[in-house]
Amino acid sequence: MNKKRFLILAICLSVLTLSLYAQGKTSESKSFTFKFGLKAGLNLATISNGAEGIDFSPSMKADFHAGVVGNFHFGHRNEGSPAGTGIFALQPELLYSRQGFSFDGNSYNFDYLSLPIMLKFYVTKDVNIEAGPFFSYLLGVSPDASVINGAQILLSDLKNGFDVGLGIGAGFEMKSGLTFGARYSLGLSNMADNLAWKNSVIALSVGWMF
Amino acid sequence: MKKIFAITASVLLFISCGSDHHVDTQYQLTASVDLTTMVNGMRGGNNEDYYTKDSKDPVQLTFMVYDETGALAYETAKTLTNFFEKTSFTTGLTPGKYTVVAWACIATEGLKPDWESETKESLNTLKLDANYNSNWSPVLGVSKTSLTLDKSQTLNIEMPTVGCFYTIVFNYSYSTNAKDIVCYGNSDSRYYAVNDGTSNIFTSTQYAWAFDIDVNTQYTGTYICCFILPTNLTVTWGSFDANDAVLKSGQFSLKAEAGNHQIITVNIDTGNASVMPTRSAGDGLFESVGKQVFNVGQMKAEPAKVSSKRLDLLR
Repeated sequence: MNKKRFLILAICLSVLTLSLYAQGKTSESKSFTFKFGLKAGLNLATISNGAEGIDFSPSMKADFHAGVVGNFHFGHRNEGSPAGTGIFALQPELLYSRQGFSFDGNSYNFDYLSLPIMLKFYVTKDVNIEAGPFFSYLLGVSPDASVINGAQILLSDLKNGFDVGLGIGAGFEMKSGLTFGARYSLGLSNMADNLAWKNSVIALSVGWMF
Repeated sequence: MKKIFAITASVLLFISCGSDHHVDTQYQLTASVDLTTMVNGMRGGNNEDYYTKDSKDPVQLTFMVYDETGALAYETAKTLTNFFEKTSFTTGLTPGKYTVVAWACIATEGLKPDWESETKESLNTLKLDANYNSNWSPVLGVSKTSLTLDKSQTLNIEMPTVGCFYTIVFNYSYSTNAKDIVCYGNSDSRYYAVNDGTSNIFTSTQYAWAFDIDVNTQYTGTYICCFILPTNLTVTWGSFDANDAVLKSGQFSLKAEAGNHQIITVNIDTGNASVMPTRSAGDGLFESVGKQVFNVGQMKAEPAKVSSKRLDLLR
């Protein structure tokens, strides 16, 4: 994805988020609460390899993610329930996420700045399931180059690239503010026009909502 | 409305997203080369394999890769012990279509190799020039393979020869009066154009190459081995006595074709000559030769060593 397209997408989603915020602020029947929090956790990351000329099976590697969370919780669960207890919430996050894969004893690291925007459905007041897109920017790559099954790849060419994908998961929010979550994120775009690699990450996180 | 616009635009942009990054990727091309196929069927005067694993003729093997436009993308060379040493080359290339050219010839230590590549920057102009200072059987093998490199791959090259190896056996009796044998050919190799596989031949109204051989009656014969790119060749021979008088002379023609090696047997006493393709070893062709024939190791086409008087007598 090029920078221009990424920027337009970010603006559209910002308009969407702000419009929801504005509606919430102006309409008594659609009130919401906003909470701010932190989260961090384990990434079990790999890639799906669709590159025809590079035949190999990447393995999962363990790494981490950490960042900030904003939660817009809408509506009332029941008549008489306080605002922000309804069944839907919108949760944008800004995370530093270390991803990549492992192969032949070597670790390949992709460091992303990621912006997931999750739509949460509260099954109960504590338990939720979520789904939504994420938008990531590749800050760094290591190693810079590698030979994988005879193919010499200049991995540093991937730097400053963008990834777009979908995440799906579940979470548990305690009244005290402690949160737990599990999410699977799958990149939908190839990492390069001539390299059909897509990110695939299982994230297990712990957080705190203030 | 704002919400609908934002959602619709977002979805459209979302599903149309793809990366415009391009990663520099090179695939590995490994070529294994077998040169034994090049010298199969090349036989000496006793119908034995002329080149064996015990041969001490160093071989220069050159490996070139040309890209889709015909420009030289990669080149390297190795010196092998002989034609029986197997080797391989490995290089990284960006995905695309390539032509792999491998060629081999003898490169005697201290001398220039028998063939040299000229105008090699482009496949269209690549030619292999015969070196007239080389040894007298400048064999040449050339392999040209087109491939599409879309993943790392291995190429097995079994190199064919692009010319004809011919052995001229001169037989004589113990009581022959001949002291010298002179033979010359009207054509010789000039260069081989790799792209279209054509040969350029040097032709002379006098001689393109010549040999002057001593007759040694300790043996029943002598032979010389030569190599020429495809052409029609005429060879003239003559035997001389101690006073440089011509005893017997003759001519034979040879249709030289790539890989179709020939043995020519000439009896300098009777003047009879026969031309035939080389045969499998042990077929009895040379049983009548008797004592071991004597191999001549003179340098090819050195006019200073060939009696001009004798050449003039044969024309």
